Amino acid sequence: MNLSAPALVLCLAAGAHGADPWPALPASVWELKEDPAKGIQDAVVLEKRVRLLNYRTEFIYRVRVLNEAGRASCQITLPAYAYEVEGRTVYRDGRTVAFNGTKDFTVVKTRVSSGFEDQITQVVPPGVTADCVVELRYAWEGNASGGPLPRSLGMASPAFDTPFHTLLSVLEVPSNYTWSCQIFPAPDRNPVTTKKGIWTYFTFTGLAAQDDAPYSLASMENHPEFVVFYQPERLRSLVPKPAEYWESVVDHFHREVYSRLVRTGSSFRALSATLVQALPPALGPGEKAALLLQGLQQRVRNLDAPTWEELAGRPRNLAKKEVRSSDLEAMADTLETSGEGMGVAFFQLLKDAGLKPHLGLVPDRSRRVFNFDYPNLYQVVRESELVGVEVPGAGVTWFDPTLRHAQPGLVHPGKQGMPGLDVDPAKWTVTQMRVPVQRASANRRTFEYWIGLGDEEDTFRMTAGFKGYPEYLERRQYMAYEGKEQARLLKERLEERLKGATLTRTEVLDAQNPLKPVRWEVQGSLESRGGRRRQVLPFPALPETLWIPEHFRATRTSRIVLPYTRTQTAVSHITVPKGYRVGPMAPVTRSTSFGTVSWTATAQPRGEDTEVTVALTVEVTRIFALASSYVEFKNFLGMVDEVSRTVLLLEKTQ
Amino acid sequence: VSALKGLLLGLALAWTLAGQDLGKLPDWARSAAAAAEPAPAGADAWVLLQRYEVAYLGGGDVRVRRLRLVRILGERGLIERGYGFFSLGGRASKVQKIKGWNLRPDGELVKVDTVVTIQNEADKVVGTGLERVMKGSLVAFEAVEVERHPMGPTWDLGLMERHPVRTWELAVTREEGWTTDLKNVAVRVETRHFAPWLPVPAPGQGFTVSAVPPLPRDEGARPHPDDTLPKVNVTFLDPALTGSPSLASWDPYAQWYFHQFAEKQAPSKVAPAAAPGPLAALQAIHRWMSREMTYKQLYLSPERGWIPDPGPEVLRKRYGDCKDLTCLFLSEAQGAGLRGCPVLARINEGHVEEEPLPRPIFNHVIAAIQLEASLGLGAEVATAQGRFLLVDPTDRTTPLGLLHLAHLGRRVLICTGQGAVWVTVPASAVFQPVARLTLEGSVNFAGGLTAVLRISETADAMGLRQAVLALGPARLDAFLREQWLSVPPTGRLVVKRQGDPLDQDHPFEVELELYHPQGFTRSGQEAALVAWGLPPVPAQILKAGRKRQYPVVQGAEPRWEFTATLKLPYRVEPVLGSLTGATAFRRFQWQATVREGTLRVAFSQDRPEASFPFERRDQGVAEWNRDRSAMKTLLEDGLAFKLLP
Repeated sequence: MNLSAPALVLCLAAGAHGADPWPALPASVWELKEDPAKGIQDAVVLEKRVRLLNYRTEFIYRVRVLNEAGRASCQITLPAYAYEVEGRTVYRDGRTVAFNGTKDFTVVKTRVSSGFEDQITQVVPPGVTADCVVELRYAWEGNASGGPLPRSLGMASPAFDTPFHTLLSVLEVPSNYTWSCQIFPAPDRNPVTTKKGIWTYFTFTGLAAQDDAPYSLASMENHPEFVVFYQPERLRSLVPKPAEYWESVVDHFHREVYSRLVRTGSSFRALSATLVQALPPALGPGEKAALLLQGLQQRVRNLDAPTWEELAGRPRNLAKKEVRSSDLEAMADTLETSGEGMGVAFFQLLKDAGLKPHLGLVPDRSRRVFNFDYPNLYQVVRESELVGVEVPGAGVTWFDPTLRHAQPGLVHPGKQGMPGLDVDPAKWTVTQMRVPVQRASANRRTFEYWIGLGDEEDTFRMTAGFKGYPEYLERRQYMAYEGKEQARLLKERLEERLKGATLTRTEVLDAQNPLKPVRWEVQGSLESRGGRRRQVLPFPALPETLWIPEHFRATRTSRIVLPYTRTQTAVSHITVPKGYRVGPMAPVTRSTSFGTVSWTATAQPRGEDTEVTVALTVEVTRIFALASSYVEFKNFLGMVDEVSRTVLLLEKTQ
Repeated sequence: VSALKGLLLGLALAWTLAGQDLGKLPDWARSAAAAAEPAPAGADAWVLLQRYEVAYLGGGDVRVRRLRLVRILGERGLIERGYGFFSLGGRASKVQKIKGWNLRPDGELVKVDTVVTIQNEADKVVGTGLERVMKGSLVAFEAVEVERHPMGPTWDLGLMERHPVRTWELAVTREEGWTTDLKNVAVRVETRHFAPWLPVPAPGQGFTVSAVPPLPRDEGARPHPDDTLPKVNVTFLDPALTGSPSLASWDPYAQWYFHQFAEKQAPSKVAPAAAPGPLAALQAIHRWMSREMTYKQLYLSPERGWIPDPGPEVLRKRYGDCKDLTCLFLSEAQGAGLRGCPVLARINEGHVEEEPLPRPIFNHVIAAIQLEASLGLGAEVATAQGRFLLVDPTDRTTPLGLLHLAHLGRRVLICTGQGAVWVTVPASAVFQPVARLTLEGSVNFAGGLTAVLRISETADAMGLRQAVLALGPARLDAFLREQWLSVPPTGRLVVKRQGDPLDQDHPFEVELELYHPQGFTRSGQEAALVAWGLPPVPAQILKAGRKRQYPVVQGAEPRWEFTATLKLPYRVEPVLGSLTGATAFRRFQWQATVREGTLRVAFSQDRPEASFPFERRDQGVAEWNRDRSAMKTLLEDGLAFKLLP
């Protein structure tokens, strides 16, 4: 059975459009079979159809269940305020069970009596078996206030494909549709566009199931999708001219916040003068910018990342007060602002220091990959700003002032390597740019161990240091808590990693001190089994450098996306007790395009004992790759897994 | 020193309280809030008062007033800013009031009186949350709910929770109105499992206990909380009450249940038997249901937790919970001329204890078919009311005539038209799970291991049938990797063959192709074989340095049989040639031989149920550690092989 057989697709397409009653199913629907090699598993979506109308949206969903697990394709979460819900379950012998939402559906509600109400409708169609077809249609009206579709729909993007293989996916748009609608085709998946009367049909056939392989990111997969959003009146004429469109967006939104609305006064001027005057004149623009940001972070609290103490201690009137990001004078008075306010202040400080700031507009890759040719302002209006400084001969060095107490120069990995807009505030012009990927050495975790071996337990001491993004992650994890609670959290985390360990001391240092990187100090013991032979874990409770999934599929279609480049080093000093010797330990050094691993062990006499020093280094240097690099990627993860599991084997000499 | 410490803590507390005007709290909370003794060491929050006022209003209505006062001691104690409880919803309960007060250490008072309701498919939680709670806050909640439980005015309460409780109180009353006469209503307050956690309160219509300890944390191999933690049951015996089962004795309770099912049985005759006779008919129904029906819990009204849907409606939907599936099974059995009745059971979540009077203590419903003569099946039980065959229609992978291991030794209540019949499920009724694994393959000079692993699963010894049903056959490999076989990213696991998970007549068989690039790794003078096909080392059940609080309990586990035959490229000898071991939790045998370049391993283990009550819990931990150590030795030394020249 060829699933993309045009006959079946044509049959499905012909009858389904708004038809009532449901059209008969072609006999070939019952011949569909699982074919894991082609990604066809559990169920096949026969048709997914979205019809956009100005005051409602209509959906049709028809799915063929192929086995027990395929029943999951029939558990459908309807949007809030779905209505005209009806459908049927069809069996191979032609019997049907009809449903209409009044008897067979349950409504799951989260409700607060003070007025706010959220409502989700979970459809549980009756009669679903391991071999049936479920057909369902419903309509949806957007939030009533202000029109049928809320502005917040902005970048919400229904995908044409589904977790299951999809035979037919259609979007129907009328010519009088008042909202902006954009189709995002996949590179090799352009829709067939047809017109009939006022309707335009965008049709995809044979869409592969979404691939949720480990180390993949749906937003970077180029899934075909569409976006319905509000295009402001003033931007509509600029849609055909992307460069002008983006300049207008920046002028209207970002220039307002970073320039026109900025309010400064004596308090801010004093703060600015203090920070600027402290800059050593000999430093370059990048170093000066780093110092300015560090000074700002030291003095001003970023209320988007508060500690428990700060949150609880805020007076009631301030707790409810809205923070205006552009009001730098208020910021200087209260020494508090929002994450965006930190950006505006940093931008202003760079100007005050005589440096040339830039504004970067780069959506986080987990949300969307910026596309210059799709004029949709929602790509860059939220949480996408970076602030940069022009370095003569070296372009722009970017900073992420929203990351509280992050080491200067750290840009959130979700923006590294990603495209965006570089805004030059000299004339508020925009150019396309791509944020550089930081080097592996910029994101470092360093561990050192001292291990003593006893008859019934092994003792260990460990120190850990962090730099770059791992440092920020550690800080973010502990910063909100007081010291005692930080120690307790660390203890619990490590005990979870190392069952059977007794941790006698755990300490997190400098989690709330922006001038020093976060460190750990840990002491503990492990149960041991003295005997003729004993295995020694050189790095107890060492956090894994990379997550190693339990399961790898034989093949994958999605791109490989790693969180960030990094280096992890660990050194362990193991004192071998008398009466034991260490067998030969072959060093391991391997390398792929994703990075390198190395494991070495050297033994040296230390008085009457022997000290073995084990050193482990894992370096991840590449974070993006096509699916064609899957075998190499698996090899790399295998290397990381192998060295992190390696134990030291001691044998009794007598 | 400790007295001085206590004094200093008391002074510190008094100083803190100085900023808090306790008069801002509701009356019931003021005296408890003024307590000046130091908080229990290490607590994140301290429940100063938890009080329940339970009043019977007549007609099955029970009003419960909940009063709670908590002092926030640390950041993790902030979880106490919210308060909620399960509620039946609909006609069965009405929350009349929820109020909250947050008296901050700086003297500010924050109040809330909004009700938040969260409902999922089977449960409903009602509660509220306070804003601006901080360390040092005194948080008080008051909630009033009137409940009409579909199973009658009976109410269960646990005492222990995440945080220590300074004072826990229960007050039970009958509250007559203008038109209600409750003189004939008896009040029953039963406590259980108080020792050794708390002193057993004196009988009466309420009591107060002090210093309720928090729930023990991080303890494995523990009994279900219902079997061991302090609980209270409040029941009102109202002879005038109709519409719910009588709680006066088990016989009318069982009869009520019998009629709930009998009224809803209507055969559809969907599964014609291949041969005449009751056995063929029951097998046909059971097999048809196993293939066509699925378990799903979806309650649209409060009583649906206890009352089944009619058989034909369950058939139409093709899904149902255990009651619904039992009702359908009984309907179809009736269509085949067989009489049956529902059986109330409790699995996985603690045992049904000897209960003199009824309570809704069950969590599962199965079926009993009355037999004129024995069918020769294991799950038959002979009782004073005749012979019954117990059938679990929810269990799709156990053949008719047997029950899942979860039923073993459990007391079940057969609900007949004549009354209650108690039965303990015997071992002969249980489908004994066995896992048999056979590994055959070879090792290359670089240590790469290529092998075929054949698994034969009887019952659901390894969870494979259930995994295929839940995840689909194409995801069995992922399940095996996650649960049973550690395969590195550079290794390979391919399912070459698998059986039908709903074939109840044969073991479920799976054949796997495996490759591990370091399956037989040299290190020093030894080589180590990957632990494929062997059970894991048991986890620790108590953190070092901690005092065990729970009893130690481990349920029966499937029998495990493993053999391996591997061709090796170089000469080795086993470090551990043979070992026979027995601990309280396990009996095992190990044998490894190498002859003419072929390694042969045979391992088997049985894990019977083992239990160490409170007074022997330390011994239980010691036995567990001995078992753990034995398995560690086995897996470290048994899989190590000495390299020979």
